[in-house]
Amino acid sequence: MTTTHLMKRRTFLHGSAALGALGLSGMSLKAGASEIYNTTLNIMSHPGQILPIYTHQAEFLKANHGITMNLLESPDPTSYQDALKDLRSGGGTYDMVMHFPRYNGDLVTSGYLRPIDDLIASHNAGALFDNISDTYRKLYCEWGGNTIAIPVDGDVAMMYFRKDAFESAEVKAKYKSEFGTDLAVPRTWEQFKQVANFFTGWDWAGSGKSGYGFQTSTWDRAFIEQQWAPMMASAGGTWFDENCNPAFNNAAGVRAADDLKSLLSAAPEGSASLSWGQTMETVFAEDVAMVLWYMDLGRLGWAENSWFAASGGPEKMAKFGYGPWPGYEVDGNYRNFNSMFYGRVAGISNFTEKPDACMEVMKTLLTPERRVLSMDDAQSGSDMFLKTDYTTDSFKVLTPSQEFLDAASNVIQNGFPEMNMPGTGEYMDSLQGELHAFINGSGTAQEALDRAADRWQSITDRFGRDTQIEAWAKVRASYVSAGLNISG
Amino acid sequence: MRGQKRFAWLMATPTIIALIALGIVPLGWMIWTAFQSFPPNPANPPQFIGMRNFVDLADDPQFFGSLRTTAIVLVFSLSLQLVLGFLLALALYSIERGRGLIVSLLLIPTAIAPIVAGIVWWMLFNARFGAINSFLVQFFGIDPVNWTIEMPTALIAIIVAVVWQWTPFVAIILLGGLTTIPRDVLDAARIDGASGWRVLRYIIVPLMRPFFLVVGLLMIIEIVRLYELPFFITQGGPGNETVVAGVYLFKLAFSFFDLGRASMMSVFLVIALSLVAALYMRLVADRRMTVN
Repeated sequence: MTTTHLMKRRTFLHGSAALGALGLSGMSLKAGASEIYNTTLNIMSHPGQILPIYTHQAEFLKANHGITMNLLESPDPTSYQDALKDLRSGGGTYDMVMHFPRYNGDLVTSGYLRPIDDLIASHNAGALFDNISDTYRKLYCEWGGNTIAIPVDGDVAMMYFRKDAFESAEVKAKYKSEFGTDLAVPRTWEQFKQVANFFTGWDWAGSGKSGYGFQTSTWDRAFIEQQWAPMMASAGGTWFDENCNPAFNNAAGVRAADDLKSLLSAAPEGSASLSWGQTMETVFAEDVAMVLWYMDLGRLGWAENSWFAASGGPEKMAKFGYGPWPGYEVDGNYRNFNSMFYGRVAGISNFTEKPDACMEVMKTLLTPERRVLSMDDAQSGSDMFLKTDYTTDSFKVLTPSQEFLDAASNVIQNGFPEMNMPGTGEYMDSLQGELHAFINGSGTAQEALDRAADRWQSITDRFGRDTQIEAWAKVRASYVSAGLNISG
Repeated sequence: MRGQKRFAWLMATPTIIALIALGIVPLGWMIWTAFQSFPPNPANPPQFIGMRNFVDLADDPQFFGSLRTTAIVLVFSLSLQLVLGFLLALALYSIERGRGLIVSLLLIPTAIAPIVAGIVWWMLFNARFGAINSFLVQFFGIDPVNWTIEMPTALIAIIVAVVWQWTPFVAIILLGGLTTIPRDVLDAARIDGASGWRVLRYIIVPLMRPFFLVVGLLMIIEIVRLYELPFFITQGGPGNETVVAGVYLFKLAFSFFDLGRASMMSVFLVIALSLVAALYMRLVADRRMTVN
């Protein structure tokens, strides 16, 4: 069965489940059952555009539940470190923490995160959790069969393409004359490369300057794997085999790395050294035909006061169409995955003495009528993750199109997740280093991936191979549970 | 006499206690930690594993890569800092009016927080938006250089930033040294017909040795501890080519949360730094000087 078939079936099932959940909404999806705690919670949050996830709920929680949130900001890359520092120093600094889901394995096996299934049951919050996108819930909110977190930001990257270019008669004619086939939104990475190269180096937008074929959110060393990993999985690879031997330094990994490297030449000059904000500036300042970017762009790129506005977002958004990432034909089957990297989740510390108040906060964050406040905000980075989020009816301030929301809903159901094994920081660092060196110029993909794989073997042995095999089995079980057709 | 001794101990005791509490105890704890393995869950006690942390480090290409990169940055940065700093000090020495103001302005780079300096230099070296490429393109017609993601330009970018930040400090220390040389000694040499070069070579430089020694040691320590500047300019890239010891140590301690290996690397760096400092002192110090 292809991933496309799986996706369609899952789409149907999810929709049904969401309707079911909505049917219960008369009771369970409404916030405000008035348990009063009269307490203050220390909540660690990523800063900046992530804070509205909590600040929108501050007055409500205070008024209805007597909960005061003391928000302790921790920069995105170091929040996991702050959580582990809290653990090493005896715990108790935070009642709740926010982190990237890649650290679920570390935070659970170290004993920092508290399993919350008992709280879900005692708070009658099952319907709220059932309203979480199934993929996000299975892959990022559970570990070893236990629920350990809730999503607070449903980042998944999707493809944005310049509809005006793909629909232009002149452009289509030029493409047909060059390649003998019709110009279409690419379905495979081979097609993607061809189309990206086609759009690079000439003025297809009529803006008086040369356009480009491709841009992605980042080429940074610290994030490069998020671009490569879904491509590798689409090509038939995965992180590990069942014995915890690396399963990416093979034809699938090499195919993805070679394709990614070749795409750099279709991106605006100097892209490899740009930060996230700067790559987005290139998307708006230049004419880029295809962009792989997070859902923030389609959700709030239209807003006059969002962080995209300064770069010219609202004007350009009308020209974008939406779709999933391309994939690969593998043994006659089409496989495609989208990048699920860098969403955010929040969990409860094992050291808190106020787990019930924490669950009250979680319930509020998952209640559609409350949760929408941070999603429907041009200054907020919280993207969709509830089944009920993907409709224009949810939005009162922002104006994402239903076409975008439909595409986003499909994309999240077919996302390739971050690897969330214990030791993921070191695993990823070694992989990032080798990928970054290869993409920016040295050696072959096979050599780079082999070096990373050697390092992974050492890391696995240091953590204990049996322990890691057991952990990987749990991760693989979550893939199966989420319906992902990932090998390994 | 006895009362004096007792008073001396009384005065010294707080300092000794502070030294033990803040210096010796953490150092001892670090050495103990270097030989332990810490289970992910701190509820389980650490285990003594002998030299296993060092063996793991020795198995790690990034560890040796970081030492090599640090050595390269150290050799080039220190050489440039001492040469440029000395030239700057000589120039300042010859200025009589407004020297105080110039010295104050020169100290600005050193006073800037390294994290801010790192971000500023990352912006300056940015391939697409950076001022350096703009300058090179506009005035020399050179194609934009991918400074921070290619070798050796990434390493050059780090060295430039380190030299920029610390050379003024070196210059100020050396200027202080120059002012200790009696004017009449220099005047006498000139009256005797010594050329400027010979005055510099045979009078100024020998008398400046203690100052080169002190400022060089300070710079060696600073460069071995480098973290923010290289991290923000290159993130250690391309690949791991510009991961310096400080960056890798931070990764071990906080990104990988491996306290045992981080402590072992720290112990290794303390020993290596001592050896480098001893070598430097041997090279720079006058044999007739006593350095205690």
